[in-house]
Amino acid sequence: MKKDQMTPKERMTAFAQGLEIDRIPCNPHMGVTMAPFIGITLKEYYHSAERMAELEIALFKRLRHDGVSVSATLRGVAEAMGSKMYYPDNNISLMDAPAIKNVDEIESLKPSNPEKDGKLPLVLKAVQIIKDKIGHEVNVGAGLAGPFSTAASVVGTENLLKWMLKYPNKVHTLMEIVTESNNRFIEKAAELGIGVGLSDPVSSTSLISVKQFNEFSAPYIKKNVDKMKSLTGCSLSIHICGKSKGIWESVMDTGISSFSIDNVEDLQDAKEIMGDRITISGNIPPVDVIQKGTREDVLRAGKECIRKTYGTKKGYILSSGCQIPKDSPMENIDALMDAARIYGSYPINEELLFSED
Amino acid sequence: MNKEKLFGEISEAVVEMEDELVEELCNRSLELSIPADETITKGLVVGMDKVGQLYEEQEYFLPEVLTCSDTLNIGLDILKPHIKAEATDNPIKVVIGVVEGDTHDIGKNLVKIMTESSGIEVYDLGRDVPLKNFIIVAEEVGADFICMSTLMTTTMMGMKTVIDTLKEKNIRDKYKVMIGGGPISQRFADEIGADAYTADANEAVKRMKSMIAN
Repeated sequence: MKKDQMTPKERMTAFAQGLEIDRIPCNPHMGVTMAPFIGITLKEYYHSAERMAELEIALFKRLRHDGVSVSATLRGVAEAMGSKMYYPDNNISLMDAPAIKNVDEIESLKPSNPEKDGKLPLVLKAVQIIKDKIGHEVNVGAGLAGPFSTAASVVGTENLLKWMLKYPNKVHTLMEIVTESNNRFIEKAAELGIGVGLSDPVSSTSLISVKQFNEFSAPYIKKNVDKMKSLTGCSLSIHICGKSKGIWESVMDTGISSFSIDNVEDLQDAKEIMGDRITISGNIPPVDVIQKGTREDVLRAGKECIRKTYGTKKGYILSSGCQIPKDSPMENIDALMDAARIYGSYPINEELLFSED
Repeated sequence: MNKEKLFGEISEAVVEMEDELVEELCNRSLELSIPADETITKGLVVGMDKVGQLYEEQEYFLPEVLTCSDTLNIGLDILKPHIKAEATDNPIKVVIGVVEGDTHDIGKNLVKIMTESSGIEVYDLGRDVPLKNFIIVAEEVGADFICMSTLMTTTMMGMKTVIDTLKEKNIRDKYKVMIGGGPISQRFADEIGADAYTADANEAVKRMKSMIAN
C-alpha cells in the first residue's frame, strides 16, 4: 500500500482544479457516532464545542481523511428554530416535540440566529478550533440539514408531508423561512472560510415523489447553493439517504458541486448520469459492511466502488453510503481509508482494480 | 342510491383524499341502514387497498398515503360505533411498535395503516417502546405477530433482545416476528432469527397473510 504523498488539503485543492493527485480522496461520514473513540458519551459531544473539535482532530490524526467537518446535525437548525430535542446519554439526539404543531403557526416562525440559537454557536466554535489546529492540513467544513429535512424537524415529518398536499402555499412559506435560517448559517460559514455540506434524508424518493421534490425541496436547496456561491464562489455538497435516482437531474440543476449517494443506489448509474457534471461520492454499506463486516469486506466493497466510478470525469470520493453507525470497529474505518490507498493510488493499477477477488 | 355505487364512491373518495365527501357518504350509508361493517369492508377498505396499490406502483408516495389514511379514519370514526357487536372469528392479531431508543414512527405508522385497513387487528404500542412491552402485550392479546421497527442503527439490537427473550421464555414459536426500518436488511433478520423482513408496508401485509395461510 502506497503512503499518502499529499496532505488532504493539497489533495483536495488539486482535485477541485482537476489537477493530478496521489490517490482517490476518501471521506467517511463520521461525527457524533464516533464519540466513543475519544472516550466520551454522545451527549457530552452534543453539548461541548471543545469535545466536538477534539473528536474531529483525533479522528484526523488517525485516518488522514480528506475533509473534516462538524455537523449541526439533521435537527440542529430546527432546534435553533424552537423544536425540542432530547439527548439520550449514548444515542443520537431525538426530536421530542416540533417547534409548531398547527399549520397556522407557520407564519410565526422566525429564522434562527446561528450565533445565538440552539447548538449552532457550538458548531461554529468547534469549526473554528479545528481550523486553527489542523486547517493547514485539511479542509474544514460544517454540515447542515437540507431545507426540506429541516422543515420536517420544525413541524414534524408526517405533518410536513400531509401539509404539502393540503396547504402547499403555507409549506412554501415554511420553506422560505427555513431556507433563510440555513442561509444565515451559511453566511457565518463563509465568514469562517469553511465549506458546507447538506444532508437531506427527507428529500429521498423513498418518501416523496420527484414532482414533490421539484416543487418543495429543489428550489430551496438552490437558494442555499446560490447563497454560498455569491459569498465564496464555491458551491455546497449534498448527501441524500435512501432512494434518489429519480431526482439526480434535479439535484444537479440546483448547482450542487458533489453528491454523496446512499448504498441503495448504484455508483455505476451515478457515474453515467452525473459523472460528467458533478463529483460523486459514496457508498460502502454502513451497517452490513462497515459496522458488521470484516476488514476484507470493507476492502472488497471499497474496491467495487472505485471500480464502478473508474474514469468518472468530475472525480470520485470514496465514502460510506451514510453515516457510520456507532460501535463500528475502528479497524474497518482504517480499512475504508486503505481501500483508497490500495485501489485508488495514481496511476491506478487497472489490473489490480479489475481483478476478481 | 344503489349500495354498490355508494361503496364505489366511498372508496374513490378515500383514494382522492376527499374528507368531506367521505363524511357525507358514510353518513348516507347509515341513513340507508346499510350495515356499517359492510360499508367499511366494501367501501373504505377497498379504497385503502387501491391506495396501497398506487403506492406500490409509485403513483402515490408517503404524503398521499398518509393523507388518504386520514380520510379513511374520518369514515371509520363515523361507522365504527354502528358495528353490530359480533366479533369476527379469530382475526389475525398484530402487536407493533418502534423499539426503545427511537422515536421515528412513520414507517411503523404506515405498516399499521396498511395492516389495519386489510382487516387485521393491530395493537399499536407507539414509539420508543420498552422491549419487554412487546412480549407482555403479545401475551395479553394472544397476538400472532410481533412487528418491530427502527430507523436507528443504535437500537437495532433491541430486536434481537426481544427474540432472545421469547426463546428464554420458551414461547418463541407462539409468534411470528417481523422487523423493518431504514438500516434493517434480510441479512440482519437472518442474523437475529426474525421470521420476516420486508422493505415496505404493503409487502409486510402480504407477508403476514401468506405466513398465516401456511
